[in-house]
Amino acid sequence: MQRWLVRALVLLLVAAVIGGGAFWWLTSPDRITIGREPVPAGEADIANGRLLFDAGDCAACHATPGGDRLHLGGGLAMHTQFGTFHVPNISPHETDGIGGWSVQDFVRAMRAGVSPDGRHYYPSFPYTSFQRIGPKDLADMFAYVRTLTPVPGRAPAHDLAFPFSMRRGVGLWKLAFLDGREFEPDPSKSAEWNRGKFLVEGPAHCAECHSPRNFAGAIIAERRFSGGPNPDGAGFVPNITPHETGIGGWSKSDVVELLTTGFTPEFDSVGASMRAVVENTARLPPEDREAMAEYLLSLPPVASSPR
Amino acid sequence: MLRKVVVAATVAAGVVAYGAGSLLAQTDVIAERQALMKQAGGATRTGSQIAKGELPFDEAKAKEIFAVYQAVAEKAPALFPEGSDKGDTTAAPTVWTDKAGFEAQFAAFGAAAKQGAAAAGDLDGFKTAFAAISQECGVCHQTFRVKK
Ligand code: HEC
Ligand code: HEC
Repeated sequence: MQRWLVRALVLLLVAAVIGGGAFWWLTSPDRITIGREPVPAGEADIANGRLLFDAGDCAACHATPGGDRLHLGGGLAMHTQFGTFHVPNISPHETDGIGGWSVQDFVRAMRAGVSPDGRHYYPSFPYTSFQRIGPKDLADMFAYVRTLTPVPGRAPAHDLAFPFSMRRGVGLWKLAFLDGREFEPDPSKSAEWNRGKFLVEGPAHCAECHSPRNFAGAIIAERRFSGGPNPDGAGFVPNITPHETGIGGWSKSDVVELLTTGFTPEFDSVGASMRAVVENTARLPPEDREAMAEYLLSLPPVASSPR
Repeated sequence: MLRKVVVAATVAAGVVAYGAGSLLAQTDVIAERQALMKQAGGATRTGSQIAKGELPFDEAKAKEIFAVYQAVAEKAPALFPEGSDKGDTTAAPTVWTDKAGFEAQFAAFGAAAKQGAAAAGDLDGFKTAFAAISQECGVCHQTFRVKK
């Protein structure tokens, strides 16, 4: 072999090792410090935990299809452009669910998308929104989930196309799209507005469906809430900013009505994936639905995303 | 030769006319089923106003709401013929892939509307029946409707 070719090959190999090393280092779940915040000591508030669990639609994804909504045995198949995700068991079952987890494990999973054994979760688990929930609220949610029925059985492994089948790659994605910032109230706004913002942006993860995404699958910040293609298949998710192409012209009580009964001002009833959302928002105290409406109607109006 | 051309042209024109005819029929059928759903929406608006006390309870009006629902349940299944999934429609593909399930849902809706009419003799009976049946709209839309 010619000497220059050997040299080139060696160089390439070295580059690959360095590159691979950099990839490995950059994508390491251990480098993420989010979700390691200490959980405040003291008695958990189970009622608050249940409220946040309902606001978070956890049951819509984690309940075993066809069963009781609080039997969180998992198994729902989520079909996406990356492949099929099989939602896991998060019931308090000791071995098949999260019964063996510590509260710190739960906080880390919800805020950093990292599992107790140190692997990345895919963002099909909406931790990009859940990262806004603080450790105390998450401890309450964990305490509530632990009061539910343990369900045996595990969901099958995800069925994803390469390279999405490599969990490690999610680390690179997180570098760009996970900031770990907890919700901070804005003192210049009302308590109601702040409560609404916390619920909409955090547990209720409304933007995850109602926003267009870029090539990397991340929400396009300046078009947040302006609608987008349905992440799990057919159709389009509507614009929910107060623009004429969105919910401009809706009153606060119109939004509250939708979050309570599913009816729009034209008395159309929302369906598709919004149905399960309404089933959950309908369980919240009325003042929380009003707070969510207050925040939504204060958003900057953005024209609907092109289809 | 000329005859052949004429025959071919006539056949072609016939095919085009037939095609246009069925396309027209389909836009009609889509518009028709959308108008029917709007009627259901209108009845629901009145029902919601009565349930919230924004309109006084009136037995005839209350029963009329369930009569509209019953009419919708009877007429709707025929307005989703094969091929009417194209065009300006928000009907989900499941309407045609699960035709039996779709029709069963309308049958159940019709039966519930009939029961509702019977229970709507006073405000409390109306409220209970109306709350139950108005949930059915969303249950059906969850599986059989996608926004576009
Ligand atoms: C849109 C669907 C969806 C919603 C809503 C959702 N999850 Fe999940 N969740 C998932 C998926 C998918 C995974 C698996 C991710 C993976 O394997 O990378 C997951 C994983 C988890 C895990 C890790 C389980 C394990 O075995 O490692 C926990 C804990 C969890 N979710 C809790 C919750 C809670 C609590 C809520 C409500 C606040 C919630 N999830 C809402 C889809 C969802
Ligand atoms: C799982 C995805 C998903 C999530 C999460 C979600 N939505 Fe929706 N939403 C939809 C879809 C799909 C529709 C269209 C449903 C239809 O009309 O049949 C919709 C419709 C709506 C509408 C009606 C808009 C219109 O013009 O008719 C409003 C308002 C709305 N959502 C608000 C919210 C709020 C507030 C939240 C957070 C609490 C939320 N959504 C969370 C998927 C979602």
